[in-house]
Amino acid sequence: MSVENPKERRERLEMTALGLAGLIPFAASAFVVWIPATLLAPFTSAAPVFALAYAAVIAAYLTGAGAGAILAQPSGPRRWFAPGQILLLIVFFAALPDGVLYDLAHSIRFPIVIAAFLAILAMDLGSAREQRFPPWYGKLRIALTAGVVASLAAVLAHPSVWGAR
Amino acid sequence: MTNSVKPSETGAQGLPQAAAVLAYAGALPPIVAALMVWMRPADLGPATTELMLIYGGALIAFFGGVRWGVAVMRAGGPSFASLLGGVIPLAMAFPVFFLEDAFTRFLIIIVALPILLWDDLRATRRGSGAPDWYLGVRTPLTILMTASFALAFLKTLLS
Repeated sequence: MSVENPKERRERLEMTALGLAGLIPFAASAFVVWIPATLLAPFTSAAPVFALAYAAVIAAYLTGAGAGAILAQPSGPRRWFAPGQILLLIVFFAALPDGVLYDLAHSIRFPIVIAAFLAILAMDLGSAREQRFPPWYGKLRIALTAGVVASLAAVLAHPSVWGAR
Repeated sequence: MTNSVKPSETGAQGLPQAAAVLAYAGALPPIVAALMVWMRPADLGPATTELMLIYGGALIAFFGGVRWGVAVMRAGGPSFASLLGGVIPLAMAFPVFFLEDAFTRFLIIIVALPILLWDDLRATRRGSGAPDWYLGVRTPLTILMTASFALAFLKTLLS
């Protein structure tokens, strides 16, 4: 078992803090949808759209990170960019606002985005096993993706969101 | 079916080829969208502009991710500056997704894409960035995509 050196530990802690910060908008969307505070009422209807748009930004970033990791080690095990790009396109089209190309119910959009996030995680765990990412990356991604999926599922589970556009 | 594979399709050589094909495919939507904005401004213009802007935001976030991925896996570990260089594009992408003002959103994209390319080229020259071939593919594509966004922006200004 490898021992983590101080530099790796600092790196892991910094990335964990950054990852948790990135989770806040997802959690906030779920919070706004579920907490019946008068102060938050104006944001309630916008929260699902915000969560989907934010998911698209994060999916783009994560698939970019996967591509960057491949670029950093071109001589490693063969792994293609295409699966990540396809997953990004799926999230992109699921998150497009109504009226741009089509109208879609949230009950269709959210499960697609959740499934795509799980697929991106699976892909990145494969890369982590091939040591294309630092040793701490896999565990961190599992925890953060769990947070993303729980938040998106919580938004979708609200009666005002399920079935709404 | 045989197992024969052309040497150019394997390993590190196949990677640039496949990545180049994907990159060119990824550049098509803004190019086509810019043409649509000019050719069918009345019916397709607004939706195509919105599609284009969201795509531009996703591109910026994606390039930020690439920088982060390259930085985190570089020999000796990432530097603070290189990690920051990966996160800044993400921060630039947010307003493109969440602002309503098309003018500002177009400006962010038109400014961000060349700046990211320029900085990535610098990093590659220093030996701390992506491989040469990647930027060799990205340079013409960034020029094409930025020109597409600029064209659509011009149409938005004129209408």
